[in-house]
Amino acid sequence: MKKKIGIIGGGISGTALGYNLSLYDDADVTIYEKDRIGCGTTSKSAGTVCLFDDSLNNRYWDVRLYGFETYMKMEREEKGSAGFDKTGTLVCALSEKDERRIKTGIALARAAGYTGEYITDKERIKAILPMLNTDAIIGAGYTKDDGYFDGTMISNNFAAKMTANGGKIITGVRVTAINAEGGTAKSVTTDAGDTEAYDVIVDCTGPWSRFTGAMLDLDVPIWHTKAEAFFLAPAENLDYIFPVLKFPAFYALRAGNNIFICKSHLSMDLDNPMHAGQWDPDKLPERGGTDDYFIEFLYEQMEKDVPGLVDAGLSSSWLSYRAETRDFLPIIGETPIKNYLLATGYGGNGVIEAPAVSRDLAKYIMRGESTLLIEEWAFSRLWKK
Amino acid sequence: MEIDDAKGAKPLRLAICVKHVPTCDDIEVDEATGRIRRADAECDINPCDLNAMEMANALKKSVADAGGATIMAFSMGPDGALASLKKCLALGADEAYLLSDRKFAGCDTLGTARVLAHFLKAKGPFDVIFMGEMASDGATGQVGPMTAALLGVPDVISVATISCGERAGQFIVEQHIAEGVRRLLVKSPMVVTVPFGVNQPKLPTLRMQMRANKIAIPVLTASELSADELARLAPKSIVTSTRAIGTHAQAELIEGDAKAIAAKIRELVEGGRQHV
Ligand SMILES: Cc1cc2nc3c(=O)[nH]c(=O)nc-3n(C[C@H](O)[C@H](O)[C@H](O)COP(=O)(O)OP(=O)(O)OC[C@H]3O[C@@H](n4cnc5c(N)ncnc54)[C@H](O)[C@@H]3O)c2cc1C
Repeated sequence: MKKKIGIIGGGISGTALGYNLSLYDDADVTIYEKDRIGCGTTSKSAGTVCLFDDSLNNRYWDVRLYGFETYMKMEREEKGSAGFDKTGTLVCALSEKDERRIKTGIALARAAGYTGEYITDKERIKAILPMLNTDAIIGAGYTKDDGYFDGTMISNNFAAKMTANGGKIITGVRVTAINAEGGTAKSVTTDAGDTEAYDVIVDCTGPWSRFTGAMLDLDVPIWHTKAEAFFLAPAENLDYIFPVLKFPAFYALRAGNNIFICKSHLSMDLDNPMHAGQWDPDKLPERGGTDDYFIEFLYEQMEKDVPGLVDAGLSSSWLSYRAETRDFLPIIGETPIKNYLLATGYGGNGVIEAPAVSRDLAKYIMRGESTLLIEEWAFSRLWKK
Repeated sequence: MEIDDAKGAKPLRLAICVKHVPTCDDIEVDEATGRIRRADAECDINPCDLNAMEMANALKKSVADAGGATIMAFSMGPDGALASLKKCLALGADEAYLLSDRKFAGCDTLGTARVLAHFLKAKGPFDVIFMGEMASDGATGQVGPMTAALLGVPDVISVATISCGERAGQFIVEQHIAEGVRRLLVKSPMVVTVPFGVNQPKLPTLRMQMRANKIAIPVLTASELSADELARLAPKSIVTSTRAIGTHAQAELIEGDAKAIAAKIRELVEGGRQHV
């Protein structure tokens, strides 16, 4: 008999998991998405999957590599299907600690067959990105091999592969209740009025998981950090490849003729009400909604590090919520409610992490075999604290 | 003819009136009341007000070496309109005022023009008052001309460009008319209304946005109007209902897999190109 799995949420988390589950012939998978596939946090993502940067600790470097190679495989199957823009990445070090981390990342990238070098010659750094001020930089890691992807295209790609394998996707339908009996989740009810029983229910609702968790009286310990993204139109047309630019406090990338720029997720303070809180993602406007404090932050950073962008036009902005836990790592797998699992709290790294996590979680759900990732990113680590 | 005494030392005083409006694709009509639901909608500065702001900026720039100019922005509306005023500041306005009071809330176009005229008089005199030709939500096009009438100054509609004339207080105004463009020599003060699309509004820069965030926007209320003025705000016209209508544009839904959609888009784009 097939194992019936219901996934709530059709972002990169839900679709990557759905696809990985659909590779097991004894899995019967359904995704519920209240809106459209990949239109939540995933659609507002920068989609950078860089071979080395500080977004994810080098301890989990294989997670990063697996994500990158999964998307490159999609690109090989159908060019453009993961929205890859091969711009390369320039990761700036401001301290010796940054430098050590970047150098480790470069060694790991090279071990996997990619290029990467650590540059201390400031003229060379400026040659890569002329609008940079290198005064505060002690060096920079550079690779030409990576860049950024498109989370929504990837989600739709996973969704298409999953349905080709027999999985089912229900869009435009919201899960309104998760029904449990005796501490075991049994079924979901939707706003279409249907109730469907499942052997396993996986909550992949990202910043909404506070609300879905509450359907079972479960306090899912995620905070919403404000991901305020700005699109800057440089005064002059760029006649060079603008690489993904990573500083500890912010990152930037080229999006058409604009530069997308965002505060880095690890620089957010969960106890600062300007940075984080617990809000309702359904109330997010499609664009705008950003705070003045962010303009100040951006102005100070640009004036210091990227003066070429201080007089760039502000063409657009959006606000989104990253779902972060206290240790900035996701919550994957079992919860105190039997058969109700989580794949949430991806914070600022969902595009990087979803492929490896989903591969491992699918195996865990279908075969009961755990992995290092499932153990280290288990919910239990947070409730023990 | 005396050359250039116009662009003389006295700085030009320019004003701009802007409206904070729901962005088009968000406009919803409350079926019960027949009114536009503004509170729920995402709002932004009225599109042609940006063209007016661009024109004011261009005029300011043109006199930078000849006395300069200041731009004062005004908007009547609830607190949300602060965002549009902030945008004006980020685009180059020097000061901004929000005209906000519950007593202004029910104003029709004439009432709105009365409120604007009152504060323009109070903060004036201005050489040129810029306004967008019509608001994308109300679309009456009445407020500019009414304000000019209340101020007793000329009103030039459909303005495409404005520049300083030879003499002080003279402006060369190019106006769109059905047959083409009419060039007028107009003596200030005046109100000009600017249609959508006559110029390419610039974007606020990070530096200018930062400056804008630091400028306080005073709120001016009905307490500054006399009892007589307040009595005259009572609406003479009311909107009894607004109906959403379907678009008449002929839209075609492109269906199929990614390849088929891409091929169709290519066909449409390339096909279009051959007509050029
Ligand atoms: C500005 C920004 C930049 C980022 N940059 C990067 C980056 O460079 N690299 C990187 O790896 N990550 C980045 N991220 C993070 C990444 O985008 C997220 O971690 C990831 O998209 C989260 O995916 P998700 O599927 O968990 O959540 P979502 O994409 O939000 O998906 C959750 C889905 O659940 C649906 N849902 C919610 N409730 C219900 C319900 N009751 N019933 C049915 N459906 C429901 C929602 O509609 C939504 O589609 C960035 C994020 C932001 C905001």
